[in-house]
Amino acid sequence: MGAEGERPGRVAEADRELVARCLAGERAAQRLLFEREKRRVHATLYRIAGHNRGMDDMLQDTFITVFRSLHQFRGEAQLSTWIDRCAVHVALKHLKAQRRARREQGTDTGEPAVEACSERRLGLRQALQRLYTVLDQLDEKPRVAYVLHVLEGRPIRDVAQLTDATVVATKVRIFRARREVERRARLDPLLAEFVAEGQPLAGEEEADA
Amino acid sequence: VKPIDVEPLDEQRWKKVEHGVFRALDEDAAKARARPVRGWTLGFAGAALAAGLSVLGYAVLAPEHPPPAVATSTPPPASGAEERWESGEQPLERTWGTLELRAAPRSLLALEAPRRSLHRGRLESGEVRVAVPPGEQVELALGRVLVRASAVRFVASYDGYRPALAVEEGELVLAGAGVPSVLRAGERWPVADGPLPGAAQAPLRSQPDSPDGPAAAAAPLPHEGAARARNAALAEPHARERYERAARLEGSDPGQAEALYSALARGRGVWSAHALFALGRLELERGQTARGRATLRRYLARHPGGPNAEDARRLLAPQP
Repeated sequence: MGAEGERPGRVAEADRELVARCLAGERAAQRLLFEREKRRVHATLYRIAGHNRGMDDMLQDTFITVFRSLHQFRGEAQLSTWIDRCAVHVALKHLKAQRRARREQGTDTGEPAVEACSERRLGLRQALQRLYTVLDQLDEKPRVAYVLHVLEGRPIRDVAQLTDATVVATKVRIFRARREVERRARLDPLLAEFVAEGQPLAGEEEADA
Repeated sequence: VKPIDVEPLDEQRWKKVEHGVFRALDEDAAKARARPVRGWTLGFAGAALAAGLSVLGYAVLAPEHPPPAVATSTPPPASGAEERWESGEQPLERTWGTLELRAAPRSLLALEAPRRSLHRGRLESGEVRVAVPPGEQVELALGRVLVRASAVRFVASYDGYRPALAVEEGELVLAGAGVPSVLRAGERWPVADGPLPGAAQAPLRSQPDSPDGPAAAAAPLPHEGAARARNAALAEPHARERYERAARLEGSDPGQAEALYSALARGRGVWSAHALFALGRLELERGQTARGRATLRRYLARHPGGPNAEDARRLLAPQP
């Protein structure tokens, strides 16, 4: 999944075989791929969206996209990376549609609803709610880049690949999003506690090199 | 930033997602089957035909060139032309070239026209008993497994997930990842507790290699002892199937999936390596961080250049 593993010819033989079986229409292979990837894809989509509302649609769209486009998988990246790319594209589409719907309905308050959760997690959920309030006010691309890099811990090169952007553009997007989050964190102790300010972001040195 | 806990989806929502995905795939497949030949395809075929005719005409009419040789033998039937054959609620018998088939109810086969002595086909679902006379060859695909045989009688079944075979007479050659290479009379793969189910168990009307009829076919086989020994060797379900079963259980019964991965990881071979990695990944997913990390380290120690090594290192890397 990492950048090191994405040279041509490095895709696991098991993945190649699984893809071939899926393309042959073998339902057992398709179910295996779905079962293997669903939780990781869900985690990525959840961190981008910040909640599980509409998650069923996003997951369905992602996996339908994956299976319909599998013939385009050339093994130049790991299968998991390629699937993540589909997930990111679907997430971007959904975020745009949600933003458009909120604007049309005049309900763009930037306040995501909080799902029912246990008391133990309440503080964390409130902090997350504040974070996603900030992210909701960003454009989709900086938001997704920030989530993938800062919340998911992916190197900038991977994020650039997943979002079809250059490394520099990705760094700029992350910088914009992080600056906005940190600006809000200075005014919000709960968010400030959640966000550790001033830490170097993973992969920046690598991308700078 | 503190790590974000992902709120898991409940099983009902996962079922809904899964149902939606595979219903869409089924609809895609149905549309592809029903799609008419497009106009541009016909146009392209017409252009190709016209080009071919003009080249042929030039070759015939041009005085400085000798006339082209004309093939006198009958061309073989186009390969790839398949006939789909489906049994209904009753078992069905038919011949396929010189082969005899008996399909259990609700079986679906795709059969190509025999080419010389070679019979190519695919069992898409259900069960079929095949009798291949000497001098004839059959290639029957069951999912990822290809059966090649001559002078043999066997029963094949395929439920869309797992192929199964039982050889009654003769010998089969199997091709496909992770399957035994040869099955002999009296052997079955994978070994099941009982006979293969279904109406295909009934003997064919005529058995090419059993002139004495069904009674002879039911008599003890000459190599029964050896067959039993090989069956014992094949009795363990194949590692890949065990891996796939564990993968399927990850959503509904992760504890059982862990147990299966763990058992498989104790063995050797590529699927044991996959299982060891999957065990570590699953333990991490289930919040058993220390165990999961230890398992992934064990994976990396055993398979530092393995196909999942990059992912294992990523999972072990400290989070920013």
